Amino acid sequence: MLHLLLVSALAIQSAAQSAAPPRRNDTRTWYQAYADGQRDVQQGRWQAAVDDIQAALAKGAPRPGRNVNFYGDVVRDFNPDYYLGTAYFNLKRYGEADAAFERVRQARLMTERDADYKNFTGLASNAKFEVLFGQAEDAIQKNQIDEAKKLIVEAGALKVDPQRLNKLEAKIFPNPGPARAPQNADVSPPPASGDRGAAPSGSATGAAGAGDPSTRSASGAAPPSASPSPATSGLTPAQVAALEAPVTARAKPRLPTASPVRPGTANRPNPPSAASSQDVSAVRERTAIIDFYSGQYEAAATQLSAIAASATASSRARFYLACSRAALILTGKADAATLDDARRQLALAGDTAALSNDKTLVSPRIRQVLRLQ
Amino acid sequence: MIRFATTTAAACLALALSAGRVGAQTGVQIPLQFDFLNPGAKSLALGGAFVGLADDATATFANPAGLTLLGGSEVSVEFRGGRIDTEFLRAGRLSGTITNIGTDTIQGPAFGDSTGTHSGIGYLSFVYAHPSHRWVVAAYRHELARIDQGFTSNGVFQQEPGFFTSSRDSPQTGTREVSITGYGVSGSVKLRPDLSVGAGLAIYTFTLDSLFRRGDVGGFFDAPNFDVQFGRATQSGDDTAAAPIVGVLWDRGRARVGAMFRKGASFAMSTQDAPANPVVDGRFRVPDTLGVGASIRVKPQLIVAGEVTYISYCRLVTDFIVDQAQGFGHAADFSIDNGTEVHVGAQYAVQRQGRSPIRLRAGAWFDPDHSVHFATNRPPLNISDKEFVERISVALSRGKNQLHATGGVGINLSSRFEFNAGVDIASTHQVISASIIAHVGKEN
Repeated sequence: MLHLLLVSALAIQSAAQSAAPPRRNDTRTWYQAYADGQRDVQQGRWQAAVDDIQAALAKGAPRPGRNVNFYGDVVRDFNPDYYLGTAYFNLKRYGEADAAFERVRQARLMTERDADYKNFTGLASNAKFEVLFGQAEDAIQKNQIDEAKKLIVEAGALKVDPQRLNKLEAKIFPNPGPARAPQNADVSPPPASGDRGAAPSGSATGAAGAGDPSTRSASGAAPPSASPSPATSGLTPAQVAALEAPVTARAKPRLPTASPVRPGTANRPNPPSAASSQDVSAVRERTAIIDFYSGQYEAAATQLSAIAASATASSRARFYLACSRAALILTGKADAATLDDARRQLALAGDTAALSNDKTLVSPRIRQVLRLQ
Repeated sequence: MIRFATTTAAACLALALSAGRVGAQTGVQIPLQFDFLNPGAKSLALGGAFVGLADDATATFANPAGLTLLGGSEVSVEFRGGRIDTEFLRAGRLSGTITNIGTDTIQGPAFGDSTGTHSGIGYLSFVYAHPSHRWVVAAYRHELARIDQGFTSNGVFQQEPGFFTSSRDSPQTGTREVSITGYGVSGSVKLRPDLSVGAGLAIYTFTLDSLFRRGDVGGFFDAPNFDVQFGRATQSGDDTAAAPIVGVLWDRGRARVGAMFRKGASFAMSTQDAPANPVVDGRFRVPDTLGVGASIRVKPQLIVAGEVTYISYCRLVTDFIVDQAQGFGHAADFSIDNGTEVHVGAQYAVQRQGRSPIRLRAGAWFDPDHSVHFATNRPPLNISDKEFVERISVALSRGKNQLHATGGVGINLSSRFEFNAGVDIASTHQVISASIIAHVGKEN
């Protein structure tokens, strides 16, 4: 009997849900408006979802949280920002989506235990990516190249849509041209080494509290062969050239912008295939090296540590991990104990003969600390 | 010895003289007391204070206006078990002095308990909430009343002062079964964001099956012998009738006020006070109920509810009570007071880290005496009439006000299922209840 009632109820409910009439005089309670918003999201009615969720919030809804009392004894998670974010994202209102997802994070309303967690992280990454991408485009338009580079690096770290980023990079440097001096690189190759610019000019000196006596490179002409990406445009051409060599391709997760994104559907970065995982590692390594040459040693060390934890970590990754840690010591951000680890990583890197070019780019102080020949 | 023989002979004569009328008085001598509790374990645990809360599927019956509060469709089922003790005049001597002969050994009245128990599905409902949230309809089945009484009385002794001998009421035994079950539909519409009205119509089935028998005694003081039947009275009914319910709810979020009026159904029934006498047709009228209640969420975890319920028990008197007393000409002397119940309850949600809270509930309600009373101003016609008055007055003297204490617990088994349990305890009533509410429809 109960089963029959349940089945009947489900049938009636699902039939009626698709025929909800438009609302004139809104007599709903907050939880009824919220339920409508959830249903709108399920059915892809994005603007209606925004309207309903906002109506719920305006009708005296409690603070978002877990086990919120809806009515009577009905207790459920109340997570309006997740649904708002999803709707905003599909309305291409990425800024609002990103803000909504950030609120979800702040309130810790999505964890790995939640069924929608993967979907949430995917959507949140995509929203953040779109925001950063848009900001980078704006920065390029305003000729704020350094800002654009920073944003692109940040967007690249999300690993959402490298192809679009590549195209954006091409906007910054449609043709090989002079690379710009890093604003924040506190460790730079010595003036005399290799193909870095011929003469230092306009370079900032010394990292913030770095005490690194090495001079900063001025921008010089990029080598013709180097086609610097925006992420590397703060580096010297030699650094760029050094970076470009081992990188094959970026991972290619593609945002499914053509189809609506709903909770429980596939709007998330494509999981790396076996073939693309190497690409992903290469991208990560490259990003970390960019961080190193941008003076962001902590970020570089963090990323390279993660890479080095893998048995398949390259010698180059270990080399730059050692360099990053040495730089941290030199800048006072790590203690002497880190030096042992840095040297151990260098030892693990094995024969660094193949990295001769990299060695020449690294600050003499770092080489000295690491006893690099 | 001669005195004893004379007394006995006179007493037997008195017994024999009264035997022709005894059937008619028997049934009414057994108190009848209904309680029309709201369905649902939650309501039970909150002392029945639910008209002003009305926030689950049992609002269908308690106050249909509350149905629009529901966020979605629900199915609920309640298991309820109860025990009711009803006192009846079992033995003893009401007047005169005991002789300590045979069964005449108890000075004063001796009451026995007729214990009725019942358990089963007390309430079953399905609530359909339209996606617009503007209107809700519901269907339900509800056991409104269930009485199952049985009793045996030895027949009390009486002696009118100045009269030369004692008399004895003839021994009696009887059963009374009453069952009223409603099958109803209710609907609710939201007129404004804070105002809902609801109405419903229920078809009630009614069965009444009462049999009262008078037995013989071997000797005046001997134990009853029901193999020899002196009299026999029956009341029976098998009918269906419809009755409406209307309700209104004013919801201001933290505070809520509700009112409800439920018309009592009226059923055809018949009374026959002796096999040879004609069947008298009448109506069994279920009392009307008017309830006004309020609830307030004092803190996020604490809800307090109260309700005042007026029940027109007097509707039971006409026909159902009166027809049992026609033979003695005292029909107008029976009454049942209408009752004004006062219900209060509170719910406290004990928060648990990462889990749904456990809701603890407690309540109480005042249940005014609504048993059948007998009072007459008419001078007795004769000794037999005087003894009847004495006997009925004593038999129907045990009604009393009662205070019910209630309690219970509610937990969410999952996002779809709730479980509630409740208990209601009074000196003569004990009710336990457990209910499951399932939230149906697409889960968001």
